Formats: sequence, structure tokens, C-alpha cells
Amino acid sequence: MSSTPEPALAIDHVTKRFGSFTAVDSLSFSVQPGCIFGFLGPNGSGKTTTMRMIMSIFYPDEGSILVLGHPRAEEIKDRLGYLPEEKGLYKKMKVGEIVTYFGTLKGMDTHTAKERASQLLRDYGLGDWIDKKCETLSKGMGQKVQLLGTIVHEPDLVLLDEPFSGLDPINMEVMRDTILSMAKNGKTVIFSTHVMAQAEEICDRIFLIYKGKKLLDGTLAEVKSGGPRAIQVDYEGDVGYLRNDPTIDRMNDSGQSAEIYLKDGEDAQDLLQKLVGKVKVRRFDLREPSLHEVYVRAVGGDVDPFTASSVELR
Amino acid sequence: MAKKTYLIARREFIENIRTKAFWIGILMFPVIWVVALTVPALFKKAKSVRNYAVLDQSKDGWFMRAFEQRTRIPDLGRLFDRWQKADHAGRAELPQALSEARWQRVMSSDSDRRRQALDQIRVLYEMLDTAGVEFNPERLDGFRDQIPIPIADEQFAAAKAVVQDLNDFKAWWQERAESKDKEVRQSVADLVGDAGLGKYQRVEASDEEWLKADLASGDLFAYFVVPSDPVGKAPEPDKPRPVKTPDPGKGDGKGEVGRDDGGKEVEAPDPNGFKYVTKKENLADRDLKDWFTRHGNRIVRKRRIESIHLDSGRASWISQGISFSEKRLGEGGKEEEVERADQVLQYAPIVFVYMLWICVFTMANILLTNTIEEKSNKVIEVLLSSVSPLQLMRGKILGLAAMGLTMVACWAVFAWLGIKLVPMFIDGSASVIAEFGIDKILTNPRYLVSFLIYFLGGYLLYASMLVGIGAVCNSLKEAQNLMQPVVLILIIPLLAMFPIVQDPNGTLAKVLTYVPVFTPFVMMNRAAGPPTMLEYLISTILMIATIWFAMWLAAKIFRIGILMTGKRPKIREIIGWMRAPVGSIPVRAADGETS
Repeated sequence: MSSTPEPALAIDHVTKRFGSFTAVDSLSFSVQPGCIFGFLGPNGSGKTTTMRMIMSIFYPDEGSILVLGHPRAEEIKDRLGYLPEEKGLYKKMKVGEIVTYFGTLKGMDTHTAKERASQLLRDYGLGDWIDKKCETLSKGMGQKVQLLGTIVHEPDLVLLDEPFSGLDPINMEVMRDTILSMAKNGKTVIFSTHVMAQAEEICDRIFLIYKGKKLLDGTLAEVKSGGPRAIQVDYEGDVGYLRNDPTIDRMNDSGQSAEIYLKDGEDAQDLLQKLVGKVKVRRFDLREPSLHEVYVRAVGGDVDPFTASSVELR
Repeated sequence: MAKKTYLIARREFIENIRTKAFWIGILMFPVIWVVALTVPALFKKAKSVRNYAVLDQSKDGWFMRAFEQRTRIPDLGRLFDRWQKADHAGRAELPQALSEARWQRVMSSDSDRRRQALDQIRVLYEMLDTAGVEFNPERLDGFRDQIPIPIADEQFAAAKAVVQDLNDFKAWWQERAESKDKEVRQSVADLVGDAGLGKYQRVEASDEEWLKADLASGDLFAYFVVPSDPVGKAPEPDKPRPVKTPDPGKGDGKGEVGRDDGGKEVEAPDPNGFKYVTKKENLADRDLKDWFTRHGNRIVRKRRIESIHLDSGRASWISQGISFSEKRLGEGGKEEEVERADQVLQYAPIVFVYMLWICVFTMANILLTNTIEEKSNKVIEVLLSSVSPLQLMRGKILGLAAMGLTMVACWAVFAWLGIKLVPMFIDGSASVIAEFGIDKILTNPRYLVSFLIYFLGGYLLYASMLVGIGAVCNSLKEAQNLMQPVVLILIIPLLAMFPIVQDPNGTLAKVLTYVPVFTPFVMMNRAAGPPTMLEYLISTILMIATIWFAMWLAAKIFRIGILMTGKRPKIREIIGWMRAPVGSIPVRAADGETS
């Protein structure tokens, strides 16, 4: 793997157009080695196109992409792993064979690939399925097999497009652990997701893309620091009466806890007073906004503190 | 880079040879051949015996007596022949010897010469029979001078040897052939394999009304009415008979009556009084009528000849047709015997073209199906993260080419085994193989090398078309629309197959040779010609250039189309892709982004 201090991935003013539609618009960012990079954005914002360009499945119309220090990923495809959003396997191939096959396509020799494939399958609880055909797998198992196919060759840079979609909690855990352990081993992981909680949990760095343009880029702390501070309230009762309170800017109420953003100049103590007596307050603390809030604010466009231009929600 | 192409090809190969389709394809070949060789015979056998009746109005029924005798003559002639052949196997058990001889006959080669000898024996028999002579070989010598056609000494000796056993044989024969038992007659007919006895069974005829009832009920296939005077009156020598204009619909001047389902008879005017009545649905099968006509004609002709007092020797001489001895011009202007193998060799390319066509079409089709499947499976994106679209396309095409070659190789092994093993199990089949020169055809390097090269050429050409089609389609249904022009192109070499094999160096063949999409089939088709070296050279260069170009185009379409989902692109868009430089991907806005 790359031991140079240079970034694992450097994207410089990359633009990709499909006819008159600009999918990616002068995008720039870089990812340091060993980083878990959360690539966020609504549907159709250009995530998949960017990933395909990184994998040199597509080529950018303008700009340059340096993957592990190389201008074209073609030359180092063997050091990359890519799990596309739409997952598919050869139905008639056996589970062990297909993981081995993906490994050999990444330049592993058949013997090593085979050993590593069965090792991984056993580690991930699929040992009994090695000799079964892919068509017998459930959706979640298929996705796991495909993840193993993506990482069987121990890539230095892994791109995972929506790796968590369609997974049950246990398998989500497995996926999360996989991502974390790869990063621990110095590999770089870029993944996209719609579930902010996951991104918040594991990402070192967040990148938010919307309509092909950069909205946010930074470490989790950096991204959050730019926004207003949130009041986290855990409570018993109903805080619905606060919904039209003039001092409150936004409230994300989830029934037993709520994230409340006050308007500029308002005091948190006033809010506490309004709560006391109406509901049973179990926790009241002032903290950074959740990634969800950052995302919604950035993309939602009604309040847009991070970009000069206002954007419309799709 | 080449390694990844190999990996793709290997997977494609391994996965495909595991499919049932592949094994069916391999077994198809021997099965088709076995079916093609046995089924017609089975059909012939399965054809039920046709019952027919004859209302013979001739005086004392002489016509049908002559007819019965006459129809037995070919059978006897064949039996003679087999008798003769069966000599070495011992004649103690005749049916057994005959059944063996039957193989010999079916398999034997010098058919022309044998047919001549048979004709002579037939003449001999007729003469003896008419004369009421006992079959005594010693006395045969005395008759030799009376035979109007020359017979070579050894042939005469052979005929004598046959006649030697004729007395016993005649008794054996008559007992069976004239038996009332249908099964006994059938057993003789089986031995003879003759139309006269095996296929047609004459039943007693009583009254025409009864016959009509039998006909309607299906007990009877047809019945004939022979007029009271089948021969008619000879015209006066100096007054030639007025020339009749032949009526093609009526054939042979005999009346033919069709019955509609209501049983009503539509009667045609009938100059001689001969009548053939059958049901409407039986009209298509003319074998019985033709057979009856053939023999009836001879009887009438013979009687007419006799009625003007021409002796039977001269009559035979008049009846004798001409026959050509076929020669071919060999090296240095020498005339050479035409062997059956020569003719077979000329027609052999048809088999090869047909197999080539099946191979190319099957393989290209599998490629199309696989490409679409991979695309709808979404495996394609994973693959493209490891290999380039070009490697993927090449790998797929090569993998299936390997599969096609494996199939062809298996067929070749089957054919070889067929040649080597069949003679061990079926007596006499070795002579068939030799007669038809099957081993020569299968080991002819021109055919084999042509087949391999043109399989690869044809496959690569059509594979590039279909892989392009597969890349732009999301489902087989969509692909079928785009396949239509390709199928239309592919039909042309099939249509041209027979014209070209008959005239392998004709204009049609020469023109189609230079149309690259037809080159593989047409050149294979012309292999018996054979084409000149220059033609081979130019057409091959053209073909390779076209393959190269088609592959290049296919790669461009594949590269873009393979990642597309949604609506199938229009032809104009695809042409746009062909022009697009590498790296740029002109995709419609609507389908460009899938995330």
C-alpha cells in the first residue's frame, strides 16, 4: 500500500456532463490514507457518477483524478475495491467460486484467492454456503458475498456505494466493523449512505454533494462546528406545544427526545423554563448539531448557512 | 491485461459448458444424424399396408393375372440377386441368408453394373416363365441365343448359377407370396423390401357399390377398375392413330376420380375405361396409383405388341430404355469411372455449411443472452471495476469461441468414432462408409480447415454484431427486435446453399464470396469447387478486415451501452456512440444518473 503522505484520492475540478445535464460540476476534494470518508448527498446528486469516475468506469470531461497517486485508476484497478449500489451476482456460480473469481480479476493467483475467499466466507458466517449457488442466497447474504468479493484482494482504497441499504441490524454491524477494521489496517474507505447516524458513527470525514456541487467538506467536528448549537432534550410527555413557539427555529422531535434549535439571540434557559412543569425533563444539554440536521439544513435550502447560493429541494 | 481477458474467457467457458444447453448441443449432432438416417426408413416401415381392390372386367381376368405375375418379377429379380450374394453365407436357411443379403444389397456399391445384370436376369426370367420352361440351368444354354441382348460369359455363368437354385427357390417363394396369410406375405415383402408386396395388399373385389362402402369406411385405400378391353384395338397400319393431346391433370390417360367427403363421385371422362377411385384425403399419396400404372402400362404394351404379332424378344428390345454410363474427365483427358463418393463429396459442403450455420448462430445467440443477463444482473459494474469494457467483451467472445470449438471438436470425435466403431457392430456398414467416402470427407483437410477457420470467422463477425445488440438492450425481448436484420442476413446463405453447391464457381457464388457477412458460409459452401487460391486470399483478407472493423464498432457500443439502463437507445444515438472518442460518454440526461 501507499506509504507516501500524498492523499489516497485527489479529485481536482472534475466535471462530468451527460448531454446537457451536468452530473458532477467542478468537484474537488481529497481523501487521506486510512480515512473513512462519508460521501453524502441526496439521490441524483452525482455520488455514483463520481464513484464511477474514480473507478475509471466513466471518464471526467474536465478536471483530473489522482487515485493512489495515479492519474488513471485503470493502472491500479487491482488495488481498488468497488461495491456498486446495484448489487448483483452470477446466479449459477457457487458462492466460493464467485468470491475467488472477483479476487483473481483483481490480480490474485487462483490458489491464494480461493483460500482467502473461503477464509472470509467462514469469518462472515457463510461457511456453509461456499458450495451453494448464488441464486440460493437471501438478499442480505448476497450483499455480504458481494462485499467479500470487493475486499477479498485487500484493496488499499475501497469505494462502497450504499453498503448499508437492505441490511438487517446484525449485518449492518458486520458491515460497520468491516469498514472500521479496514481503516484500522491503514486502508482508505469511501462510502455513500443516506443514513446519517451511520455516517456520524464511523466517518472521519464528511463530504456532502448536491446537484453535482460540493456543499460540505471536512471532519465531522468541522462540519458540525459551522452550524448552530443544538439543545438535546430527553423527556417524558409531549413537547408538541413548542412547535409554534416563536423563539424556536427548528425542532426535530422523535417522541422521547428532541433536538431543538433556537433562533439567534434566544436563551436556552428560557426554553428550559418553558419545559419544566409541562414535561418531565430527563436530560437537557447544549451540544453540536447532529449530522442529520447539518444535512437537512445544507440540502433543505430554507436556511442555508453554508453556501452563498440557495438551492432547491428536489 | 491479457490475463484478465483470459480470466473472463475462462469463466465464460466453464460456466457455459456446465449448462444443459451445451450438452444438448453436443449430443444433438449424433442424435440428428441417427434420426436423419433411421427415421425415413421407419416412416416407410410405419406406413400402413394399403388395401386396394381391382374390379377386373377383362376377359377371364387376364389382366390381373398378368399383373400379379408382372409385379412379382421385380421381387424375384431382387431375390435372385440376393440369393446369388448369399451364396457364401450358405443357402440352407434362406430367410436368414436373405436378411443378411439384404444388408449387402443396401450397402453394396457397384449399383450400375448390378442393375444391368439384374435387368438381364429379369429378361431371362420373363422368357423362361412365358415359355413355361422348367428352371434347368443345363437347358439355359440353349436359350442363350434367344436372348436379344448380349450377355457376357461370366454374367451368363452367374445367371446360370442362380437358375440352378431357382426350382427350390420358386417353390419357397410361391408358397409365401401367394399365401392368403397377410403376415406371411409381409414377411416375404420385408425380405424383399419391395413396394409391390410390402406396401400394397390386394383384397377381393366384388361389386363396385361394396367397394365404395369399404372406401368410405376406410377399409380400402383405393380401388381400380380395369375395363373389359384394356388393350383396345390396334389402328390400321396405314391409318395412324389420331394423336391425342396429353392431359397433364389426368396422367397416363387413365381416369382418376376423386370423392368428396359426402361420398359423391366426381367422374372424369375416361378414354380407356381405366378408373382409379379413392377418397379425397388419399389423393396426395400417389404411390399406389403410380405403381399400378407402371406395371399396367407394361402389360398393355406387351399385349399390344403381341396383338400385332411382334415376338417377345423384339418387344423387349423395343421396351429397352437407354442408360448412360457416367464418366468423369480425369487427369490428362482420361475418362474415369464416376464413383458414388465423388458425388457425395460434391454435396458434402452442404452438411458443413449447415453445421457451420448452426454453430455460429448458437454461439452468437448465447453471447447475446449472456450479455443481457450480465447487464440485468448488475454484475457488470463489479466487473468493470476490475476490467475494462474491452477486456470484458473480448473475454466473453473468446470464452464462447472456445466453447464453440469444444462443441465442434466433440462432433468431430463423434464422427470419427462413428466411422471406426459402427462397422464393428453393423455388418456391411463399412462398405457404405467407403462407398459414400464418408471417411474421406471427414478427413479432407480442405473441409476441416475451412470449417475451423470459417467457424471462427463467422462466429467473430456475428458475435460482434450480437454483443453490440446485447449491450444496448435491457431484455431479450428488446434484443429480438434488433436481431431481425441479423437473422435476415443469416437466412441468405441458407437459401443460397443448394444453388451454390450445384455451381460452386458460378456468378452467385463468386459475388457472395466477397460480401463479408456471407464469406464464411459461401466459401465453405464452395469447398467442393474449390475456389482459387486468390479467392481464398482476398475473401479472407476482406473477412478479417470486416471482423476487425465490426469488433471496433462493437467495442465502442459495448463500452457505453453496457452501463446504460432504461429505454433502449435509438439508432441515431448508437451511431453517435460509434463516433464518440474514447473516454467521453454521451449518455442521455434521463438515463445518465442512476443513483
